[in-house]
Amino acid sequence: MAWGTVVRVALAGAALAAFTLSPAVALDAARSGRLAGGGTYLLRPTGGADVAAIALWFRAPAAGFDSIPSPGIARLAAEAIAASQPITGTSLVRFIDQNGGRLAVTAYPDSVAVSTLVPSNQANATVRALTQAYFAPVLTDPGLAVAKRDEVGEAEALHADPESSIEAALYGALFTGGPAKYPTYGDATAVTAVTLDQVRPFAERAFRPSNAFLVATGQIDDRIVDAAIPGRAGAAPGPESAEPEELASAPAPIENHGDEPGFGLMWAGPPINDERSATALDFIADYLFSPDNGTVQRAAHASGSEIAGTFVTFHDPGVFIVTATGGDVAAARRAVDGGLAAIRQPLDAKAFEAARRAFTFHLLSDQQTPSGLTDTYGWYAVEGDAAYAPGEVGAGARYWAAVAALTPAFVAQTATRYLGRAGAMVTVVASPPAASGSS
Amino acid sequence: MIAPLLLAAVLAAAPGPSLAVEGGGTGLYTQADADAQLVALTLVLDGGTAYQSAAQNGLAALAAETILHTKIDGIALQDRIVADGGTIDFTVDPSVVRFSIEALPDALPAIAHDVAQALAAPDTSGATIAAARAELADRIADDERNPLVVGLEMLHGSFYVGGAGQPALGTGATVAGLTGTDVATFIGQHYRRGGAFVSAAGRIDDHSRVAAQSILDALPAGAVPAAQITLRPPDAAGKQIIAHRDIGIPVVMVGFAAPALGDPDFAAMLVVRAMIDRVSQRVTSTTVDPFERGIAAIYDYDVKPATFTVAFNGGRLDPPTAIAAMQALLHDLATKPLDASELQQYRQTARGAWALEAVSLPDRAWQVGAAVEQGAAPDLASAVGAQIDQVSADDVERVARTYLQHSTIALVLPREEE
Repeated sequence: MAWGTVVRVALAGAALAAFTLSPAVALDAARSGRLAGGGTYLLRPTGGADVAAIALWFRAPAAGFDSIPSPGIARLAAEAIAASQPITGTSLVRFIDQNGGRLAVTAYPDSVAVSTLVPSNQANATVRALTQAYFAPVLTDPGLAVAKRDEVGEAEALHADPESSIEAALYGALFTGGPAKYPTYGDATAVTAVTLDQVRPFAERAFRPSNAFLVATGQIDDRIVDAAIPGRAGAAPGPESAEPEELASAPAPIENHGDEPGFGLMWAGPPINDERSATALDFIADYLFSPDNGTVQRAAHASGSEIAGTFVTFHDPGVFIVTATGGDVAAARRAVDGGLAAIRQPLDAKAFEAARRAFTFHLLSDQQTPSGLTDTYGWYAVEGDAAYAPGEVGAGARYWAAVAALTPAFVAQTATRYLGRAGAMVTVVASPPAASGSS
Repeated sequence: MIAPLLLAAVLAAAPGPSLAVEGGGTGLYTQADADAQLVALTLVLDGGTAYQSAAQNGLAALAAETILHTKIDGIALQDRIVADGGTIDFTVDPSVVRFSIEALPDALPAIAHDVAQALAAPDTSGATIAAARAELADRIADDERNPLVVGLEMLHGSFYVGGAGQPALGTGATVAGLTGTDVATFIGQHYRRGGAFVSAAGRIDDHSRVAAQSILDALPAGAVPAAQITLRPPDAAGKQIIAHRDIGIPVVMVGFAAPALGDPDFAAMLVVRAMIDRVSQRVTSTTVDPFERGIAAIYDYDVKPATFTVAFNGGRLDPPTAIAAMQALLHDLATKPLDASELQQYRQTARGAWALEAVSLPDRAWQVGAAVEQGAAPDLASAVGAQIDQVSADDVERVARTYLQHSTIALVLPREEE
């Protein structure tokens, strides 16, 4: 569920009422600058556990740069690089594993993240290994074979997951063109057929130093940037631009069949630079759908449905997604519709402040670890508004200022504006059980 | 009026290592982290499964769940905490019950007040017990769908005598038979000041110290007898126990006794864990959970006697073949010293894995509490890395010989294979 993950990390983080603060010092803000090869670095040293979370984020469509989309190629390329062993040295994944660390590759519609969590004494070596692997990529047939096997396996698991299937169908319905239209995982047959000659050009364009955001949090210091390699000669300068998305004017409802019933709803939201509206939709998603106290979750508890709702802060537009699977989906739908109708009216002051408080807690909890913080910074940086990242917690922090400025009236207006119009809808009808053998 | 803008806590000092633990004299252990935006507490009480009789399977968990559902001014404790800006949950071990709270720092005084009130006057009315029982039944159902949890509980039942070997949450059937009187009696006997303590990590200041201390101070005075946790004598022939569940793949788990946190052999056992987690030769493009690769080591070191379990994923490999390979590995470990480069590699991996063991605030609070519970220094965790660096080939050989030669095997099979 890659698409929702980082946005759930980005949710919450509202300003706390009655939390006494003193003006921030510079140490609170991420330190940023230019990498030698032209990309951007963001550093956010923190205390706590003796670990470092280090990630490279790249602006790159999950389905590739070509006019004919190749769903899954971004993930495939990133994983193939991680699994490829250079002539001298070890593969990136083996290097991380040998140090007891973790390495993950996540593809989003228009970006790819390669994330690590390592003991802090390996932070510099990890930066070097990461940048070596991606700024001067080595791709081998065995590495590609491993990546293909892994992507096919992951795709199969996602296709079997009802929520993921609904999400993919929603994106395909809401978007008529652009990166968001295509799934981040490819079809098994197509993935298996991909060759190194197809992956290499994508990797060389996507994983350029000038197209990279190096994000590091945890027990790190500024010298970590010096460990990054500049990159390879001949790499094209300048970052990739965000690919424009094309929205369906009136998405047609979709009906699919699956093992269990379900439904999904999706609306286009504001772009990331409309920080006030984006923050309001984050708040709405948390208020309605937070697992521990969302009003829709409570209303639908007896339905037995698994309900999820989130706002994904993409560059332009963001998307608000609701899915429900299993159980009594009719009851779940009533709860969802009721919640969406209710939020289009201003909450009373007491309920609003309680909701803002819970929203604050959820965000702070999501980004309390170096990995959570790295995800947050990486996402907002690659989507074009690093200063808006909720991880920024000092004076002038824009996300927190936006949360503190939320009002019941504005939240209601935002809900009406974005969630009160036609969006994409997917219904899943449970397939009847297969007939037993013949008599 | 909108309250003053929260621009998130400001740091008065430069970020740096913040794993030192203070306090302890009053039962409060704190690991302050000026970078943290939240605070996490673990309240540890002598109320684990070892205190249950044979007929009370699940009572420790139901008692804890009842606290979460206890109403204060008409609202369940867990809901009040959510409204205040926090969460509360619990886990049950053989010796203790742990209540884990995570909260906004300024919410802690109100939360602590509510928790103290719930502990002092638990609501054991029929309605509250019914609600607690229902939520506990959901937890039990979730655990029943997880073959690793099922296998671990089968092994614990084989290892430990009496209540300590019962499933941590009980079973649906046993919990249904427990009453409000049972819960009230259990809480009255075990939720006492005696051996209770709180471990806290995160944004800790004088207010949060006072709040955390108030939870302890509100507990009724009195000691709780030490939990009797006894291991059954090992079966040299390797006993096998079988269960069937609604799962998709067979899982085989081989369980051993093991050194607990703070034991001189603990660091060497972590090196062995690193080796077993990498026995599977499946190459992947990202790091995956060892169980997804085929073989995982699960080390429950926060209870004494501790256990070490090797879990085999029947969807990834053929269990009999893998078990035979594991047994050959363990035999070699017990009889042949590792060569220097292998030892160095596994020490490095084990040290890195240990650094990642507890990163979130709740995990860090738990880790401090686990050390206290074992009678070790509260900041023991920060010393383990250096201890790993000192593990020798002889240490690995000794640990393998001492702990990893007698096992019990739990087979968790899909129901259609019955």
